[in-house]
Amino acid sequence: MDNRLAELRKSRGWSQEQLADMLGVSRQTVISIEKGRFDPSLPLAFRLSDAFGLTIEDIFRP
Amino acid sequence: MAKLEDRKRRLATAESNQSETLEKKVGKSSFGRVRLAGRSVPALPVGLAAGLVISLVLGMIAASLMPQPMAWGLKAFLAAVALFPTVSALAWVLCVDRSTVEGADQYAEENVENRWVRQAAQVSYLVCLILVSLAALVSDVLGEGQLALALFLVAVGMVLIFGLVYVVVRFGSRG
Repeated sequence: MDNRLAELRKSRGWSQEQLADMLGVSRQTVISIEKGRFDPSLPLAFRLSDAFGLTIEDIFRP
Repeated sequence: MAKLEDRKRRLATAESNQSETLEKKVGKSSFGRVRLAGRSVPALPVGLAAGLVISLVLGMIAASLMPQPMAWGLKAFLAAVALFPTVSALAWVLCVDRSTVEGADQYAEENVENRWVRQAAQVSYLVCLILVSLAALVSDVLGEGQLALALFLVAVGMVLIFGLVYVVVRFGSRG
């Protein structure tokens, strides 16, 4: 699924590892989501939206 | 937007407090901790102790079944020594509280690595089934009847196990 995760993360100055620690998942998971190779679970999608202060639809594009 | 920001701040504060409280209470370590009789104790000694007891029991069972002409005590000891590392590691994995292990992901079940493992398991099962079936066919063609029968039974067993696990998963997932 297309997403703006990399763009949003960089705009906040977060590394992939920092974001992974915040979300409680592996750095490889963040990398895979950013590249559109892995769709997050619903709980993870909600934690992503909380981390960025945006809605899920603002981050992901089907 | 203001509500989301406020929610984010409260979530971050709550999680930080919860994490601090947990870390103060039990601390994180390389091998983590386990809850035993209401107390939090280091998991490594527990895993080693459980591994020792289990591998001794398994060693004694193995010694009773081994046909080698050797003293029973020696057989049991050797079997226990061989089993101890694996059994201790398994005991540690089963009893440790993952949230107390340094570097462990809080939501490891949501990691992409889990999907990779599942996909690898699916593909490797199918590959094994195909290879065993082909080996049974080739063995039969080459006149190795007993080998062909054994491989055929292995293939049938794999299919039956898949069916059984499917039924368990299907009925286990009912709401």
